[in-house]
Parts: sequence; structure tokens; C-alpha cells
Amino acid sequence: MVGSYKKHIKVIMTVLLVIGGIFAAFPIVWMFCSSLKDNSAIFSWPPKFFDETASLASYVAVFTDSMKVRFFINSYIVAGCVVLVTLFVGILAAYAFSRFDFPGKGVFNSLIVSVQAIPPIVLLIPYMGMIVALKLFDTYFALILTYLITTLPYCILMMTGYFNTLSRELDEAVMIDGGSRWKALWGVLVPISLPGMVSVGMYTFMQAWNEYLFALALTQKTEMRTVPIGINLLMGQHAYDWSQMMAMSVLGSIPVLILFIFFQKYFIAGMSSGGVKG
Amino acid sequence: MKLFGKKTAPYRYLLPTLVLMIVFLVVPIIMVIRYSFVDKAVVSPDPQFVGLANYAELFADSSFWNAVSNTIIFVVVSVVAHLVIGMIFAMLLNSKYFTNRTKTIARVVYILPWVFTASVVAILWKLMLQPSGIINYLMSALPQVSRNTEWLSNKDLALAVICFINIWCGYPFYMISILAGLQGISGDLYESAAIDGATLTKSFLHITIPQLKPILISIAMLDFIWTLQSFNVIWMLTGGGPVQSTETLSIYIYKLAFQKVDYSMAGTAATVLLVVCVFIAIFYVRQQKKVRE
Amino acid sequence: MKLKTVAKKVLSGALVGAMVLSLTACGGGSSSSDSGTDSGSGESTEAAGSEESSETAKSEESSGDGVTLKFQQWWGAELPEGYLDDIVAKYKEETGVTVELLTAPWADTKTAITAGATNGTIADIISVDGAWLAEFADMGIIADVEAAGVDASLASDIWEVDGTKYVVPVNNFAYPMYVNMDILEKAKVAEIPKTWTELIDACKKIKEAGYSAFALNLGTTNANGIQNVFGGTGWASGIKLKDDSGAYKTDGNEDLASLAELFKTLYDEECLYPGMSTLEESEMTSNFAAGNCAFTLASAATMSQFTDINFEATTVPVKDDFDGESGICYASWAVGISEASENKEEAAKFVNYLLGGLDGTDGSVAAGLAVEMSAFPNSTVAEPDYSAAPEQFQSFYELYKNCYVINEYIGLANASDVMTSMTNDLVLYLEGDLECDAMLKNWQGYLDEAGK
Repeated sequence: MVGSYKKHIKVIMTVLLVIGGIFAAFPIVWMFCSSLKDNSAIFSWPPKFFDETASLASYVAVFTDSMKVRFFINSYIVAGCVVLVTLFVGILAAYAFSRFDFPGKGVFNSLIVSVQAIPPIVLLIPYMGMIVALKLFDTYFALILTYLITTLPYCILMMTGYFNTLSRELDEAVMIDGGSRWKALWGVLVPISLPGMVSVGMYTFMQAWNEYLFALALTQKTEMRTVPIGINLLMGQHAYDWSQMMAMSVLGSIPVLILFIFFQKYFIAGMSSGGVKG
Repeated sequence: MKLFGKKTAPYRYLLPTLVLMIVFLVVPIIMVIRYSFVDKAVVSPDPQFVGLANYAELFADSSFWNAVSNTIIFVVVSVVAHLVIGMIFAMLLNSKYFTNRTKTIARVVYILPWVFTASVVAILWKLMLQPSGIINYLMSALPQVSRNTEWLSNKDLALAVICFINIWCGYPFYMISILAGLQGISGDLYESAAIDGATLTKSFLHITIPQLKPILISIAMLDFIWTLQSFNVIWMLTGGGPVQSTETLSIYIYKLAFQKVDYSMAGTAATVLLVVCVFIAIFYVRQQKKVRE
Repeated sequence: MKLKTVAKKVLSGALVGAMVLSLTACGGGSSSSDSGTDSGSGESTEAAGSEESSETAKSEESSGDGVTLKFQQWWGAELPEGYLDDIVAKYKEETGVTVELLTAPWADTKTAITAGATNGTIADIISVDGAWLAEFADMGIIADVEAAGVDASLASDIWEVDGTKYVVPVNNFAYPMYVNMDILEKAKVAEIPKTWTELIDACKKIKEAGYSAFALNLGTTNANGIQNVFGGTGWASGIKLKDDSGAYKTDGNEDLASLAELFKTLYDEECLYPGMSTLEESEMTSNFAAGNCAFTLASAATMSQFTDINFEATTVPVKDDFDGESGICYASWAVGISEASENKEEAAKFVNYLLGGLDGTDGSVAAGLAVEMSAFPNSTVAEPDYSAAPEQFQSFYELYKNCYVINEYIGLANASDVMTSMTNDLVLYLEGDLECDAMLKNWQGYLDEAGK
């Protein structure tokens, strides 16, 4: 290959990278700019990225409202618990799917995939009935349980794929040494699967952080509300508080982004092995 | 058979999952299916069994078929575009032409659309696409676009715009998964192909695609089911309008349940959707078996 | 004894139990001797779980001296922070009754109430939009307020379905026509239009001057433009969906046809704000606030947002030969008492308090809410002091006194569905894909069909 050919490719690739970046990030930049403006400036023509109304007022308004801070704390608690429980339950199931052949495996597998198919809006009423009957209504448990169920299928699929890439000799070695299967799973398989767990954890966190419909119906007290509800509370009957909505969204996305930056090395590696067989 | 014997071992590991799925999903799903065979489910204290009458009514409803066709367009376009864009971006981020630092930054930028809740995605795009919004402003250099250009309110354009927005907020999931898959492909394969004189296109078609096939099928299947249910973005952007031109099945079902308070019909439509997805799931599980063998 | 508790709470315990069971069972591997301790630990967790839940239940009951009423509403999100909390805090001070505020986003309050009603988690007092009234009554969600003890003499209007009084408005939001005076000036329109002909002329001039003239929101996420803007324009000229006998009469209704033609003219002259078929009320008012259009009909509650423009709030132009009394469209903050409530009497007392204070003569709560939200109180004893309100509001208040409020969609069965269908047909008509007669015939069909 000639040098100039390579150079051309690099130029084309760079141009593509920049275009892709604009496609991905431009709306988010606009969101950030809007969060600095006041409500009518967001609609003014010609639109400007920054104008004389630019201020951090919306952010201050969010931070000084103790209820809104509470929404963030609730979202952290719920999303954090969901990640832990989903991983725990999902890893157990994935281990079964990966290491055993048993009657009903195919049926369970299709069950886990297809139960995702019912639109949540229809499930809402009977599902809520279960939650109320179990006295979980208006508690963190209700939300954690709900998101656990919605994120489990993906977790199981990915972790099964991940375990499939790990040699069976690994767990057999533990068992030859007199250890149990349990020990083989948690002592050997799980530590090597950290990348896979990180990727599932990221996905799970995002789902739990962003869910709206069930958070609306399964909680009632303002102290139990999560960030998406908080954002929607700014949509009034006659008018929206656009600027604060944008500010809350920007704030809401920051923890997710920090997590991603922190974990991205694992994230990429984890998706790889899980996805290929998964 | 001993309760804690070897034979029950896999079931013990599956137990928590199965208990959760059966109690919290299968039971409500059965209740939804039951709605579809009765009249005035939920609203009436003793609904009457009506057999398949709800299904007959559903299949006779032209709005249902309109929703089906919108859904097919929406889902197929979204899934295919997610796949293509996800692939292109993943290849870009995997390219050896960029430094690691560039790639790290690009990864964070490219993932941005994924981290926002659906109603925010909708509100944001609505702000940008409104007549006095930034899109019309930036594109007014084009002769076809002015301050009066309608995007979401144009019957012929609305579905395409909705698809575009759904593509925007859904591709990072593919990009990350494919990117991960690309890293799993051994470099040796490409090197030996290069020695055999294979072009870039050839090695893409004969190495990259076959190697990625299992992951592509998995994510496409999951995305298919997720897109089928996509509700919030469309609802907040257009509410199914203008004139039902963006009314997908999930919108149709929402309107039945919460505008018409007709849970029987909503349950019927949901059951139809479930049956379709069960077939897809069976196909998927078979496919997975084939891959493993 | 523990076994009994477990049996009772099997469902709630099963979850935790199953998790613990499988955790320890898997840990035990194939050795069956572990099984005894496994189930033991499972049981104890279950028992602990149920004890915990009964404890929380007790603590809930014992909190507060008297009754606790739950009040589901969206007002708290729109009022200044803490305003509503202060009202209920004061109420508790005076009566010992705790009112717990459950605030949900307006657009989803209906979903939350419907889901709550079918699952027994509904609040005692619920706020109701006019579009939800008939469904809530039909589903048996809301109770007869008069039977519960609401003093009907305190309210100038109570919403009824089939003769039963179900919902009491607290505040009414009138829908004035807002006019951007700067745009009028730039377009050399000297006077605020008073009739349809003047309106059309003004709109044409505004359009020629390069501005958008009239905003009509026909978005269907929340299809209320057909009510507030289209309906509101009609009611100002006495054009109604119902005939004198109170039956819906849109098919062949010539007045309605002329109203539709007015908007068709505006549409054909490109005087309607672009993007009407996905425009929502909130965007419409924000656009007006940003000076993007000259006329709009929107709730008086939004007036306080129009800080950057020079505007007037006035009554809607009337049909050229009309000289009767004008109707003004309104929306409400209204409350009902849920049928499932165990404290209907206490709930009714709180509703009375909102309208007339503790003794039925003190309208200060209602008046305060009204002033805060640029609304008109429905209370007969409230005397709001608007002297601190924007001058535009005060001048509109003078005009308002010569009109009557009307909203024919309040109490309409399946109102949101009917309004969506009507909106879709109106869009088709304006865009030239449907004849006016056919549209009015379709409307008749939706209205007659509703609630059957």
C-alpha cells in the first residue's frame, strides 16, 4: 500500500468521526445550552447557543429544592440495588444455562426472551395488583423488583454467553480440589467475568435510572419519586419549565457518564465475550 | 429424587429467576390474556366471557392495521439503521488510524444519546424540530427549508422523523456491542487474509461479518422486541399524530387502555403482540442452539 | 406459630425465601445434610420479613393524631414551591387532620388514578380534569360529593354526571385571547380585532409583514386545542356542539361549519402557526412568550410567563353579526372524593375548607389560590384581590365579568378519545383532505358513540 492511499483513508475516517460526533452530540449540546437559558429564550428566533439570559439559575433551582435532591437520591438507591440484585440472580441463572443440560432448558430460555414482549402499559394494572397484594406499594422494593424483572432477561442472556466462553475445566479444577459448584461459581468464574458484569451493570443501571411508567404508578408519596418523575413534574397543565427540565436531564446523565468513563475499559471487553455467544 | 441431588442442581440455580418471572410476569401476563376473552375487563366487576369476539373486532379495525403497518416500518427501519450505523461507528472507533485517547473521547461522545430518559429525548427533539427551532435555523441555507418547515407535523414525513430520532437514541447499544465483538476477532485472521491479497471489502465480508454474526443476531432480536414496545418517545413527540400517521401498536394499545378505558381490547392487541414475540423467541433460541453446535 | 405466619404471608415471604434458599442450597452443593439449615434460614428470613412489614403498617396507623387524608393532585408542581404545603399545614394546625399531598405530573395523573383505583391505592381526594370526569364517574372511582358532605352552596358550579354531583372546581382558568402588540404594530394593525373579518384581515397583514399570526394547537399527545382554541373561538360567538335541548348536534350545524371555515381561511392564507398538528398547549404558550406569533388562546394561568413581550389579554373576536353574550372557555382545578375512601366526610370537610374555610364564610384559601394562579375562584365566598396581578389580567377581568364560562367537553364520555378523533378530522379538513360536511358528520358519530 502506498503512503498517500493511507493518508486519504485517514482523512476520510477523521471526517466520518467528526460527522458521527456531531450527529451524536449536537442535540446534547443543545440541551445543555437550553438549560442555561430562560424559558422564553429557548423558543426565540433566531435561536442562539448562548444569549444574554444565560445563567445557572435552573441548576441552582434544582439543587436548592430538597425534593428534587431527594429524587436523585431515590434514583441512586433504586438503581444501585437493582444492579446488585440483577447481577446476583442473573449470574445464578446464567450459570445453570451455561453449565447444565436439563429438561426444559429451551422452554425456559424462550420464556425469558418472550416475556419481554407484552407492552408495559398493559401489564401495569395486573402487575400493580401483585405489588399492592404483597404490600410493597410505594416502597423502594416495588421499584427494585420491577426493574429486576425487566433487566434480568438481558443479564441472563449476556452472562450465559460470557460463561460459555470460559472453559469448563476452570470449574472442574475447583471441584476436583474438593470445592463445591457454588465455590467454583463465586470463587473462580465470577471474578474472571468482571468485565461482563460491568457491561450488564451499566445497562441495568441505565434502565433503572430512566424508567418512568412503573415509577409513576408504583410509588405515590413525593418522597418516593425518582428523577424521571421529577422531570415530568415540570410539565404542567398549561406550561412546561423547559429550562429546568433540561437542567435536570443534564444532571441526571452525569452519574451515568462518569460510570461509563470509569468502566469503559471493562465495558468493551465485557460486551465482547458475552455478546459473541450470547 | 433427592431435593438437593445433582439432577435438581440447575433448577436450584434457576429458582430465583423462575419464581420472579412466574409470580411477577407470567401471572400478570395470564391476566392480560384473560382480558382478551372477556368484555369490559377491569372496569366491570363481573366481565362476561365473549370468546374470540374481541379478536374479531380487533382484526376488523382499520386503525389496528394502520398501526401494524406503521409498526413494521418503524421497527424494520430502526433495527436495520441501528445495525448499519452501529457497525460504521464501531468500525470507526476500532480503527487503527486513531490514537487511543481520541478513541476514548469518541466513545464517550458517541454514547451520549443512550443516557437520557425517553421523555427527555422526545422533549429535546421537539424543541429542536419546532418551527422556530435550531434545525430549521441551521438548515435554512437549503432552499427547501425555512422557518415554516414542518417536520413532525407533516403526515408524509412524521414517521421518517420518528424513525430518525429512534435511530439516534438507540444506536449506541449496537455500537458498543459490535465494538466489543470486533475486539474479540483475532488479528491473525486479517493478517493471513491480507497475505492472500484480500481487499478491505473482502475481509470485511468474509471475516468481520461471519465472526460478528452471533452477536448481530442477539442484539437485533433484543432490539426488535424493545423497539416494538417503544412508546414514550413517540407519544411525547406526536401522540401518534398527525392523523395517526405515527400511531404504532404500542400507541394504539395505550390509547385503548387509557383513553378508551377498554382493557379488553388493549389486552387483545397485547396478546397478538405476545404471540408474535413468542415465535421470534423460539426462532432465536433455535438459532442460538445452532451457533453453539 | 412461625409456620402459621409463614403460611399467611407465603407470597411476600416466598421471594426472599426463594433467594435465601437457593443461595444456601447452591452453597451446600450436593450434600443433603445442609437441607435442614437451609429451610430453617429461609423460614426465619420470611418471619423477619413479615414482622417488619407489620411493624411499618402499625407505625403508619399511629402517625398523626387524627385522620390522614391523601390528596392526589398536580397543583403542587405548578404552584410556587411550598404553597400547597402551607395550606395543608395550616389545616392540620386548625383541625388535627393531616392531608398528605401526592403530586403527580399533570398528563399522567389520570393514569395514576385509574391504576390506583383498580388496585385500591387511590387517594381520598383526587383532582379531576374535565376530560376525565365521565370515565371516573362511569368506573365508580368518584363519589357523590354532596352525599359526602360538601356544602354545595359554597361552589358556584359543581360538575355533574346524570344528575349526580361528582366534582367540585376550586379554581377556573379562563382562556383569553392573547395579542402580541409589538407584532400588531409592526404589521400596521391599529386595533385589536373584534370580529372574524377583522381577525382575518389582521392575520393577513401580519403574515405579509413576515410574522406568524395565529396559533392553533392540534397536537394529539394531549388533544385539547379542539376544546380551548377551536371550541373557545366558537363559544365566544355562541357556537356550540349541543343544540338547545342539550343533545349533540354537529351534523349539518351551520354555525360550526362557519367556524371551521374561519380556521380553513386562516390555514389557506398560511396564517396559522406552522406545525399545528403536533403543537401542544405548552409549546404554543412558550412560542407566544418568545414573540413568535401574534394571537393565541391560552389559559390565564400562563400570563405570568409573558414577561418579555408587550401583550394584551382580551376576549375572542366574534362572528360578524353576533351581538349576544360571549362564552369563555375554561379549564379547572377541580377535586372529587374517591368512592374507595374510608374518610369521605373528612375529605368533604377539607373540600369545604378549600372553598369556604372552616366556617364556610372564609374564602381566603380559594382567593389566595386564585390570585396565585391568575385564576377565578369557584367559591361563592372568595373575594380575590387582584390588585397585585398584571394589568393585562385586571383589564381582562373587567371583560370577563360581561361573559359567561363554558366548556362543553367537561363531562363528555371518553372525552380524550373523542377530542383526539375530532382533532384528527379537523387536521384533515384544514389540509384539504376532508370535506367540512363529512367532518361534522364524523364528529356527530364520535359524540353519539361516546360512552356506549
